[in-house]
Amino acid sequence: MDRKIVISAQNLKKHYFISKGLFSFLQKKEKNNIITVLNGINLEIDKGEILGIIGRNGSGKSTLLKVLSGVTSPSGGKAIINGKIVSAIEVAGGFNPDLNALENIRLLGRIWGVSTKEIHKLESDIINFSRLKEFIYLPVKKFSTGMVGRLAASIIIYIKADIYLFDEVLNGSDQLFKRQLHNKILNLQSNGSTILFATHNATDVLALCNRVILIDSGKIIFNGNAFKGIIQYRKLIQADLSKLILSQPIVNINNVKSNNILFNHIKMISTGECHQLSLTLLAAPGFYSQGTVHIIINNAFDIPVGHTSFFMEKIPEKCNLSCNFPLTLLTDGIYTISLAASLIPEKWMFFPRILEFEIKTNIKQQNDFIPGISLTQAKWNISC
Amino acid sequence: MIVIIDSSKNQSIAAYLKKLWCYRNLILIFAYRNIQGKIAQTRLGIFIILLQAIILTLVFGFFISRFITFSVSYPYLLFAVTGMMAWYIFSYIATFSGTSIMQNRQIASKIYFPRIILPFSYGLSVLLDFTGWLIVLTALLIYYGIMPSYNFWAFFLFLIIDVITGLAVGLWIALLSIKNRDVALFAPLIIGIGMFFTPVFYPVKVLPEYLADILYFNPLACVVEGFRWSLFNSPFDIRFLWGFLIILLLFITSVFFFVKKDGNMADNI
Repeated sequence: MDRKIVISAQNLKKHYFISKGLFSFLQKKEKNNIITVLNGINLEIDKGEILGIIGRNGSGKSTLLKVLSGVTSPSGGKAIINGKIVSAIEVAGGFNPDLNALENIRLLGRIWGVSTKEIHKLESDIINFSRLKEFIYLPVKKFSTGMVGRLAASIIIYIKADIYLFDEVLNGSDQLFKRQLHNKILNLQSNGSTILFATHNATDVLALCNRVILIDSGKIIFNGNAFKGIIQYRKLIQADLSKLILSQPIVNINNVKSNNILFNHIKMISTGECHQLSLTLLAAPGFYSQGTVHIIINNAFDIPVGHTSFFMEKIPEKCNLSCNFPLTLLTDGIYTISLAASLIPEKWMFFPRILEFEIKTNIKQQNDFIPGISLTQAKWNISC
Repeated sequence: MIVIIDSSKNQSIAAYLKKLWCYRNLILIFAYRNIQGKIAQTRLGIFIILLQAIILTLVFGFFISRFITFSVSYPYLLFAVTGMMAWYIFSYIATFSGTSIMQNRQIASKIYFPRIILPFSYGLSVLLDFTGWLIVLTALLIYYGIMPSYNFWAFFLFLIIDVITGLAVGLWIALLSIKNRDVALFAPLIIGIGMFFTPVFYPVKVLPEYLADILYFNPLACVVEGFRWSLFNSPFDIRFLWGFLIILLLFITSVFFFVKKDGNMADNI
């Protein structure tokens, strides 16, 4: 198969100058009034890729997309773009709030270079996709944030282009639209378009991206597997994480409490393959007759991957609970533990992320950081 | 289609103008957008723009011209209406294109297109206002039974010069107010005062010699007198061409600097 590079960036740089005061133009462009947003980005993107761009706020994701789409010129370096590019950067920008949705579709489409004839064909598709049929004659200023975002994303996605840039398009839109957009993006990809997708949201990245780049202070610090990228991103947020020893709890909250019930002395001890979680339960006397205590294990994206429950026929005033659970099932990565209790009379209590720990094994197959349970029982066959 | 994205220092004027040509449709689209934005949520729609000229003329004709009149070789109302038309077109373009980048920063900082299109689009959307004035002017010409002079061909030439003057001033205002808004805030005030230094309501001949000399350097005086010359064959002082030179100089420099600034404009607006 031929490899066709659609975007190639070489040493892209972007600086901003801050100027203050009446005579700011006399200031020299010194170090302390320069902000470096992009600091030498080298990137090659193949045709038909969905590239996720992740990073903290202000790390340069949006600026990179702005530079690539030509909205602002780089201060140094160069990028070669092969194909028509459309971009949804802070999407609602192109709308005229006084005009209604239909007029805005026509205007924005034309601004993106779609002919009037083509827009007339696309109109109904766009309206159906955005699920805003009842609202198309309403001025856009009366739309909610989610609706504006939905409309804008729908327009962009129906414009024919070779490269699509999306910057936080799914912020504020509902689960259904998210699904729709994901499917549409995958559809575009299968037709040979290239998609760049900047987001904070790990689930979007995992649902879509073939590859991920992690940007921090204007540099690409990771490029590759999305799972690994997100783990790296998480580590970046919690810089201390890398310093910790294997399988040690990272955050340790000693007691969590709600009305009438208190968990304290929460402790996790790791012994080789087994982890023991121990805690003390204190309950207000005579308040709850019986109940179940749950330990929930979440993966790095805060999605529950496993749980264990313990039913208590009688809740004493004070008791020590301990639970041993094997963690060999889980693959490498960061996990958090949440505590929950469902009590009678009817009460649900939830204490999210009270403990955090990391699992590091040295098994080769597991180094790709695919989250979740590793199916040790699965059988593989190979035939050539 | 291969696009090379490069630092703005390496951007050439020729390449920019070529790009502008590729995006020429967009001027029309933005002009349409300007008009649509202006008449949104009005009952009268497009007539509200046409009405402005008519109302202004009526007010002037019935009230103001009873107190202030100057004797000219043709009806004074026609004199004033031509002046007001030229001035209105200029001030519309200058004020709106001056703030166009600021007003449309939402779109200019998110979608790529040669940004000079934004101010230029007001040079086109003014044509609707111009139509209003043209209707008034035609009605008055019929009312007074005056045939336009044989210089009439120059009428549209001066219209173009009028538009270019507005754009030149507007582009400079836009340029100077990208980073700091001071200029944009003072601009309407200064443009407003400028009307008194332009022979909109008074003929040049009522001024003392030394003031008239200064007037020759006012680009708009050239346009106003030009309109009158083309319609009524009133005397046109050749020295007004100084104003014309200033217009050209202003326009070319403004486009030049605008192109140079375009690359990093999105960072500052």
